[in-house]
Formats: sequence, structure tokens, C-alpha cells
Amino acid sequence: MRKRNGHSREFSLLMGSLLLIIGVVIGWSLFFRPLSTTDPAALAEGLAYLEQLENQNAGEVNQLILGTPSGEDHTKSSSQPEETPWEDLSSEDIPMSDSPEESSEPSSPESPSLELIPADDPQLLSWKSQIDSASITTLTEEERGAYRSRLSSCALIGDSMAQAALEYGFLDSAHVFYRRGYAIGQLGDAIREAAAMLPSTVIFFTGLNDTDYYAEPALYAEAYLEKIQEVKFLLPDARIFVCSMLPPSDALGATRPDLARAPLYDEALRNMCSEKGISYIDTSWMVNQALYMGDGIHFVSSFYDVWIQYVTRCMGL
Amino acid sequence: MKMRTQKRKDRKYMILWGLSFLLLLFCGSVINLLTPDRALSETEKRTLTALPELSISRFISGSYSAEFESYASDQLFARDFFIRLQSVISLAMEDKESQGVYFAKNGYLIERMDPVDEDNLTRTLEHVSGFAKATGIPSTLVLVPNAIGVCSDLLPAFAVSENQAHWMDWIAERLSGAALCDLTEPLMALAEKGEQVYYRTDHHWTSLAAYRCLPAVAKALGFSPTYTYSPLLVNNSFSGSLAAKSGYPIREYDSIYIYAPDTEIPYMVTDNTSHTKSTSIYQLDALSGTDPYTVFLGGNPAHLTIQTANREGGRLLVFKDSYFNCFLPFLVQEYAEIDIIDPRYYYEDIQMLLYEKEYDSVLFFYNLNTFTQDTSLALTLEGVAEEAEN
Repeated sequence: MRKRNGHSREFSLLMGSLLLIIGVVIGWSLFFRPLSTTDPAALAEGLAYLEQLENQNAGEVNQLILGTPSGEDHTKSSSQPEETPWEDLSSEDIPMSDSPEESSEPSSPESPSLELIPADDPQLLSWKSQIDSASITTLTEEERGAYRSRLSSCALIGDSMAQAALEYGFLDSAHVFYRRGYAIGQLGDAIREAAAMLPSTVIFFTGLNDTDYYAEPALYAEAYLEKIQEVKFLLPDARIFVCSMLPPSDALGATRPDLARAPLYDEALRNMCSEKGISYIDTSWMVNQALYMGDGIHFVSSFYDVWIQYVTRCMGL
Repeated sequence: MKMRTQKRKDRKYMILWGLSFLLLLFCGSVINLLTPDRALSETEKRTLTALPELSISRFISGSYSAEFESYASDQLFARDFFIRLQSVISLAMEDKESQGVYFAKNGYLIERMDPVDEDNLTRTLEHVSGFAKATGIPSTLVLVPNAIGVCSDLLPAFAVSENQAHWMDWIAERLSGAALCDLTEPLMALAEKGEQVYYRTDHHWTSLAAYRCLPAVAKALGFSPTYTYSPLLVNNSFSGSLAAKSGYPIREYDSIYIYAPDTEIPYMVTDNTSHTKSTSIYQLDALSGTDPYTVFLGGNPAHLTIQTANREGGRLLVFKDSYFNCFLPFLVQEYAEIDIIDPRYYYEDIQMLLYEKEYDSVLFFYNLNTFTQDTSLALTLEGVAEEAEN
């Protein structure tokens, strides 16, 4: 009779216990579930609260935040316009270039109705000849008033180029949100203020500060896109328009090659707008050397006579 | 005759044993070589070491071998299973510690406090003090003790750890320029009442604990809490960092509560890194993700700015770690503007921020474990703190 060998018993014992331990662990992981308090109603209430917080109307929240300004202004940076008269304007403070802004995600293309004026349109041709000959029919006070009321729910955002529209009296301070000497990336506060007025149309007009602030046109276009997306977040239903970056006068451009790069920046802006479906108003045809002010950057009042008529028509207002 | 068959059987089993052993080794190696490397561990919530690059210099210095060891251990086939197996076996053998986490009473997992580098901590404190003095802004350092300090009665016998009370005193002695707010007392009082101060499976404190500390923190910051808050349940199947780290099976899930104020003041949150805005300090999606605790602030963004409709409130600057995230709801409505910075991810220049805005208060908000090991805060405060010495 063959006795059961000691070795085989050892072997099967060891294998058996190993398999048992592994089996217990696998079984535990599969079937054992930790305790938890289940209160579906309470959970639903909590989640609903979080959802409600996230889905608030950003524009309204923004208005509540800006509300009636408190007496103290905590910001050190000068957000108040300097008191120099417009005519004494010297060339802008070009700030030091900052680190480039990060790129944000592409927005879905929107299609605000940009009234593309056909090339043979009589009004457009009249404006063109006025600009080319530098003899512009200035608007009467009544006509200016009419434009102001057509643009009553439009906000103009920008730098001193936008400020000029205010200084020359084409728009009032409730509709112009500007920061002298600032680049597009720094206009966050101006955008928030503009949004608080809940405009139905927003138009950007900025100038040459960006050529120094952004080393590359691509960075400028990225920063511009970010600001437009901020506007879209605060005012989801507003129509947004962007004006060209206009070059410096030839005389200035000769001595300031950095500013003379403006057409490259404008091109980057134009390409970005067409890619993202943002309405771009081409005002480059309005440049006439005779219309520049002494500083070679800003334009005289009669330039804005044509500008306001042209952009108002482009915006369909 | 009998002896010969016996010997043959012995030999048979010897061969069997030997072959099984060799086969196990061989299969183990082949399986480990063949299975693809994983980049991320979901259970441990961390990235796993990838195959290190071989170079003569690294080989000689020893760093290659060290990294290879960590690679081999991280990429072990069925690693999660083996960790679980090991923790179950060690529990059975009354070994109540795994990966620096204690399997404590009442289903609690408690993290050990690691040894503290005194030079590093001194440097951090010097920078905090220097920052407070250089800016002249009233500064407060709030330190939250961890479960190892407050719930030490739950620990298994012979649990070895740094003493939190000792380090709190050590810090109190060396901090100047900024006021210290030590939350040990209110939390111990809470624990004595039987309330849940920390999560069972996570290293963070509960929202309830944070709420109960509001009076102490408000006093340190110089205001009186204006609102009362009530809890809302948002997650009841929370399995946190300690469960993942230790590999211990958990007895009971944790629940996460949000505290809502009796009156809502709207605010806008701007993430200065991704340039996105939100009207909520919470991230709803996080609740169904891998770490539900990130419902508070959506994780640890480098720099957030919150502007509220409370025009009379002041401006607060906060340097914090993740413990602050569930405390923020109690502060948000008391200020007009809050800038929140996590020094571990903040690479900007704090000087620029101080230049742009005038702050009424500076708050440093940390848990003791993280604060005593932290190296990023000193770096962030460097530019400003050093001015105090000049």
C-alpha cells in the first residue's frame, strides 16, 4: 500500500493556503463595499445648490459687483484719465513689454451682422473722397446727437484712440471705456466697466501701444482673442466688433521702426478675426497723412467725423 | 525495493518543487517585461516612474540604479493587487501601519507626521516674518493641526510620529511680525464632543471642522462673522488620499458637505493662469472625478482672484495649501476682493501684485504637516521678505 508522501501533503497545503488567501482578497475586492450614508434627497439638494451657483448670469453678477463705487479706490494703478487737454497730447507712454499672455481655447465662431458695404456704395465713395482730399464735411451738433442716440446701447472700449471719440464729443463718457497707454491685454477693467452697462454691442478701437507690449503680432492676436472671450463670458448676447490697428504717420514711422510694424499686427488681428468668426471693421482706408495730429499717432477731430459714420453703418445701427 | 521507489518519489517532488520555483521566477520576469508601462495610478493618484535613461554619469553617481529600482517597483505587474494583498496580510498580523498611514480605531486612517528639517522651517518662518514686516500689512499665520495631533487617542499602540504640539510651540517661538492662530484648541474641543474633525479616508479636515474654526480665524483677522452657514451634502461615496496611499481597505466611505450662507452675496472668480471666470468657488464636476475633495476650488490653482458684491469689505491676500479650500466659503462674503495664491504653482512676481493692489490683510493658511515640510512659500516671498533685512 503506498503511503501518502509527506512532500505531496506539504505541497498541496502550501498551494492551497496561497490560493485561499488570494481568493479571499479577490472576493473581498469584488463583493465587499464600504458603508456609506445614503440620503438621496439631501444629496440632490446639495448638488442643486452647486449647480445654481455655477449657472448664475455672469453679466448680472458683474453689475452687482461693480455696483455703486465705494468712496475709497483701492487700486494704486492710475485708472483715472490724466487731465492734460487733448491737444497737448505727446506720444503715448509705451509700457515695458510684459511676459506673453497664455493662449486660451478657441471660441465657437459667431456671426454678428457686419454690414459689408459694397465698394461702389455712394456713401462709402463720398467718405473716401473726403478722406483722400482731407476736406471732410463735419457733422452738425444735431447730427452728432443723432449718432449718440443710435449708439446708445453700444460700448466703445480701447485706449487713447477710443478716448479721442469722447474728447471730440462724438460719444459721452457713459459709453466710452478707455485706458490711456494701455495694451489690449490690460483692458480687463475697462471691459468689466463696459459690461456693467449691459450694452448690446461692443466695439474695440485700440492703437499702437501693443506694438511695444507684444514682441510678436501672434501674441497680440492671442491677447485680443482672450479679451474678446472675456466680453463673451460677461455678455453672452452682445455683438462684438473690432477695428483695425492704424499705422503711425510716415514721418513718425521713419524714426520709430517699432511702431512702423503696426500693419503686421493689424494683419495678425485680421487673420485671427476671420478664423474665429469675429467681426472686423477695416478702417485702414481712412489713413491720410494730413489727418494725423502732431504726434503722428492720433487723428484730428474730422477723422472721427467719418469714423463714427462708417463704423455705425458697419455695425448696422 | 521500497527505498528505491521512495527515493524516486523524493526526487520527483524535489524536481517538482524546483521546477515550480524556477517557473514562477521565469513567468514573473517575462510578465513584467511584456506588460506595457503604466503612466498613472488611479488608486494611488500619482504618476508612476517611467523607464529611466541610461548614461555613464548617472550610472556612476548611483542615481540610475535608484531610479531603476523605483521604476521596477512602480511598474510591477498587478501592483494594486499586491499592495492590497500586503495591507490585508499586515492587518491580519496586527501591523497597523502602511506607507506612513496608520490604520486607526473607528475606521480612521491617520497619516504620520514626517521628521522636520529645522533649517528649512526656520527659513520659511523668517520669510513669513520678513514679508509681514516689509509690507507692513497685518499678517496672520493660521496653522491647522492634523489628525495625528488632534485624534491621537485613536492611534494604534506604539504608533511613532513627530509631536505636533511640540512643533506648534516651536513655530510660535520663532514667528515674529505675523500673528499665529493655532487651531488645536477648537479642534480638540470639537473632537471631544464626538464630532468628525477629519475625514476617515483622507488627510483633509471636514467642512464642519472648518466652520467651527471660523470664530477663531475671524478674531485673528479682525472681523466678526456676519453670516451663519448650514450644511448641504454633496458626496457620500468619498474615498480619499489616505485610502489610496495606504492600500488599506476602507470600512466606511466619507461624506463631503458644503456650507451655504444664510444670505448669498454674488462674486466672480478669475483663474489667472487659464484666464477663465466663474461665478462659483466650487467645481461641480469634481464630485464625480477621482478626487471629490477638489470640489473646493477645483484643485489648487496657482492664482485666483475673487471679486465680490460686498463693497464695504477689504482686500485680502492669501498664501495657502489645500486645507484652505474648504475654509474659503466662510471668508468669501466678508471681503470685497481676495487674491489666493498657492506658492507651489505660482511662478509670477509677488512684488508686481503688491504694487498693483493695496491689501488690508495677509493670511497664511496651512496645515501643520505641509507647512513644516514646505519649500515653496519661502521662494515665493523671497523678493519682498529680503527687503526687511536691508
